[in-house]
Amino acid sequence: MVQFLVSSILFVLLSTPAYTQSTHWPTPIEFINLQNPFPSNENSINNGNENYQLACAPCHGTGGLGNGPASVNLNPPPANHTSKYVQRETDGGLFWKISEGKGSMPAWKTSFTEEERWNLVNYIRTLADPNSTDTLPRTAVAVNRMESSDDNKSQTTSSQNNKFLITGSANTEVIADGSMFNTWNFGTGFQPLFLWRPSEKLFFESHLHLSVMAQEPESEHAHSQGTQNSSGESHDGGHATSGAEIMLGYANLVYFPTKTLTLTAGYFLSPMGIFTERMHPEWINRFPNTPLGFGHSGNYFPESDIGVQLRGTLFDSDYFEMIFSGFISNGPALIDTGFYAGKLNYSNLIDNNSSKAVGGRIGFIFPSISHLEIGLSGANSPIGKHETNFESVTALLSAADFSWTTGISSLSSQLTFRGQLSSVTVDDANYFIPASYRKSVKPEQKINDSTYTYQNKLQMLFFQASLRPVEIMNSFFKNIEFAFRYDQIQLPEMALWSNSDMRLAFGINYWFTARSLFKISYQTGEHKNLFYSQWVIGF
Amino acid sequence: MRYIIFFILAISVILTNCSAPKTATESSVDNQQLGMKLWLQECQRCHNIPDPTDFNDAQWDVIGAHMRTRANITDKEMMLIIDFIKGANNQ
Repeated sequence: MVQFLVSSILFVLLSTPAYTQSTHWPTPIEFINLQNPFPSNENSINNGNENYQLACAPCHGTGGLGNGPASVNLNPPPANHTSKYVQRETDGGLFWKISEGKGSMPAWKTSFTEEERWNLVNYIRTLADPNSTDTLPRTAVAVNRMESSDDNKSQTTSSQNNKFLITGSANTEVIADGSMFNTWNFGTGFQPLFLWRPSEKLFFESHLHLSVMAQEPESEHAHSQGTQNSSGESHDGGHATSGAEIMLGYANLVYFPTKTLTLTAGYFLSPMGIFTERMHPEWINRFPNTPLGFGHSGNYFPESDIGVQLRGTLFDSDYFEMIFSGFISNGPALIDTGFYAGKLNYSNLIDNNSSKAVGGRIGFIFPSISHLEIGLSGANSPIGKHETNFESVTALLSAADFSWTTGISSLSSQLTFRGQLSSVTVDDANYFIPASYRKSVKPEQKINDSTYTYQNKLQMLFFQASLRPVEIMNSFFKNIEFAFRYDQIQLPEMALWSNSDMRLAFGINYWFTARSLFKISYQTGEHKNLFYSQWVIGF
Repeated sequence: MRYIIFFILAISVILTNCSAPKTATESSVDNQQLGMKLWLQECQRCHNIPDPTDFNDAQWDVIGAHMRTRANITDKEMMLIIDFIKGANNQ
């Protein structure tokens, strides 16, 4: 454990400089001595302030300190306009930089008139802080502008007509027993994402998961339950994953028939709720593992499904948006015999019946309330195998989710909440009692000596919050994020595979870039405690 | 239940094709500023705001299609965001 902690800390400290880019930005000589034709009067400063708050503040901050909400993800970071370093720049130099942009700073010459840009210069002058200690030497070395534009050209020409992109993430992790710290294991994963856009209206996307897992807590939870009751019975569906795994996350064709509709066909991420579709990538999930009941195997809620999907925007205004995703798919299959009878198998690649699952999600977005999003999902899925007693058995899946990111000015922080309540209700069905479990089935569940039934409903819940002080000035602490998660699962109480768990997880994450971070979390649960750390690189 | 879902889907398609255009696009705010606003808002619905210099223009075009699919944003919103990003990734 000590070895791991030491190596983790070293890792974080050593990795930070690797993500930092040069901030050198010289002004061409002809602009250095350019005079500001607009005097710095009230009208000019007011106009400058107005446009500054619109266009500059998101990155440079409302007070120009370089600490706007978007600043944390930009490399190099936005300049501090109050600093001597910026204020030493000539008016002409500031005007040129506002006009042309560099790196992630846009060229504002297309958006603002010349007068408006000079007004911005006048406003930036009012931000000067005489006590600023930021006195880095001004990079006033003139450069040949032709030279720099040649560089730009060579960079973009090489990638022209590039309609194919491989991106994704890689991660490596350590999972330790959180009570004894006597066992710990390494794991690693690589999730390439293949994106291909052959034309304006056509698109293909596919995601692979390649991993060597030390331990998968969620599936182990299902597995350990099976082991406790095991007496030579075959347990379908409750796989624990260990060892190498190669999995197709999704692979689907996309067609954009109109400006607001998207038609998808193939193996797609289930739009039920928000975790699977929006939060599962390692660089988006604030914790190294999934909430209870989710995951690639042993999951109790759909992950990917084969079928067709129609998505789009129903209503779009400045105050309210409504989005939808509707699908027809193979849906899950009912496991109808053995220990796991009544459980759903979500890897139903060849449908076990002719009826398809129909479902979808409707999302309500409130842009004026920091883009609060509330979603409701439902799916009706015939799950029984064709030409068996279970043919008419249907499952009803539902989920309610929400997502909200807001700024807290008193803490100079950004706070993000996400949550999802999911449930699966399966019609009552009569299952054969497995020979080795006759004593486990309660008398009130028995239909006769050989069959039993039970109320088959399961529920999962997670709620998470994360806080990151994005607007504080310290470049180390602004990359630290505190995360909290509560999750629980309640499997059908009378099922042989019944189980329940409730966990609390606390995490500290360090962000290197917008898509690369180091996570450490401690999780306490009813069955075990975990210490989990993970390093993720988005590329 | 299935009929309800079919009904919702049908209504969705009808509404989609007669939904009101976004009022902001009609205002005087220019596309670059609108694109920046959407870049700040839409990306954060799921993940951190990306650095425009992370990918080149051609790559952002491909990512735009991916995000239009995943985040249910309209073609217009996707174009505004990607155009803003392209304007902000001059190396």
